[in-house]
Amino acid sequence: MKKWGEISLGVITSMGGFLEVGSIATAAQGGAEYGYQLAWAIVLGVLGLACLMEMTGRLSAVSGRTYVDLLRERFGIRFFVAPLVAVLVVSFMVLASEIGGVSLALQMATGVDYRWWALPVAFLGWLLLWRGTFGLVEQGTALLGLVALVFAVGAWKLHPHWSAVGAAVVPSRPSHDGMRYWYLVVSILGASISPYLYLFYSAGAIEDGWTQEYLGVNRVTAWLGNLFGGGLNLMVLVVAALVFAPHRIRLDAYEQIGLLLVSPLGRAGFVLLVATLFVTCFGAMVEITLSVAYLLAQGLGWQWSENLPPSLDARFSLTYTVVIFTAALPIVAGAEPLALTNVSMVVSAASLPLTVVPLLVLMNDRDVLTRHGNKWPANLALVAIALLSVVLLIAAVPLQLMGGG
Amino acid sequence: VTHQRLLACVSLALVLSNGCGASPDRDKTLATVRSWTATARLAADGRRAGATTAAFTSQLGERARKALEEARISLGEAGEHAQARQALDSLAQMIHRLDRELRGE
Repeated sequence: MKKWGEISLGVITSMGGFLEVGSIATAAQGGAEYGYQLAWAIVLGVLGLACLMEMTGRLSAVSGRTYVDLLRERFGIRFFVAPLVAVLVVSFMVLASEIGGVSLALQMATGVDYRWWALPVAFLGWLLLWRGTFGLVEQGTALLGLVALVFAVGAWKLHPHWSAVGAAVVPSRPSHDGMRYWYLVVSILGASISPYLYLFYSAGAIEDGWTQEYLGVNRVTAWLGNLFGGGLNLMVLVVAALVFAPHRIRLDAYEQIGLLLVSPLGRAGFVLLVATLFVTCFGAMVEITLSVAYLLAQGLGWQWSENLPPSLDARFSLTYTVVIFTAALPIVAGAEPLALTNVSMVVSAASLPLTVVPLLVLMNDRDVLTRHGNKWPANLALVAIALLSVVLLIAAVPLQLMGGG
Repeated sequence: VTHQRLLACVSLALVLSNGCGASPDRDKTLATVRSWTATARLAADGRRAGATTAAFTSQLGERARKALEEARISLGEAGEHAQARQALDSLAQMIHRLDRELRGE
């Protein structure tokens, strides 16, 4: 019974963690510009992320150590510097975008410019980290994130052609503007398979005290949570395809997303969309902040745990304090949230090889994983993700330059 | 003579590439203008139906106004062409409607 409770909470957490500023923006952009056509990119992202989360969760449950910890030990500090710097840069950019997302939700609700909200939002996030425990951070924000189910209700009310949505799960050639199409594919994948998600998940497995007995919980949580989360993200794309695409509305500003649920759900749609944007971005903001602190603490061998009082892991606590307030500064300075989000997602996609390729080695290390190492289907999937990540690395920058405008 | 021919060819190529480059830019600007016209229409409808707040509608109005200004600058003389003028006028009218909805008229 206890396990089922943990599975339910885990699934809700993964589901709530999937939607954030990047996944909402890129799915809405994809739906607005290409109808259902980019549904396959979301599905590919979901499958890729579920695989990576299941593997990093398994690695932590069996070894009792986080992926970052094992990465540094197995490959040495010289190699470790590359993923460390890449993930720090990417996480910082994504974190700034999430702070922008929360601030924009508050702007939509109050009319007060988003720049004024950035520092109070960062303070609120910091307060939760300082005073709260891992369970509160993880499950509290995820439970509130269930408000995102409003996208499924909105899609259902709009009566989409589900057969057409299903057909779009298979990749197809762009209907127009190929460069923009592939740029959006990279953005959607970058938003779905963000490194902080599986690094946070791996650290969470240790925070929650997972052992080999939790391998089943891990499997169900990683797959079901991401399938539900990805399903909700798909609903964002469907709603945008039905509300924005017929009017040829292209998203140039994040505020336009505020209109997404007005047609199907009226006032309630607007209010719940603003609430969804606030809650999901706030949840992602605290998770990314923790993820950066975990990365540095685990990589450099500091004491760390969100469950410890800050006085017992001072460097860890100082790191998240500095990170969250520093990341608010670009928003205070007036960085455009949608543009920042789009660039962050592409950079995120480009950084993937540095954390995905080494995982292939670790998941086949019998000293670490004993008999729980990857079998050939899992290796095949991981090789495919690693190849995809290399393609994303090569394609990301040219596509940002040619299709990002 | 060969140098002059080469120079003429290069000049022609530059003129052609410039000409070919200007049209997609104009089309892109006009697509943005039409997108903001449709956005402003949805925002005005939403406001009329009482679905959105005045603060939010006002923010979208400001964004649409900014898009109109940027399009006028970007189009320059091309903004005088019938197609472009029509698109710009439609956006201006829709912003007007949005303002009226905000005043509750």
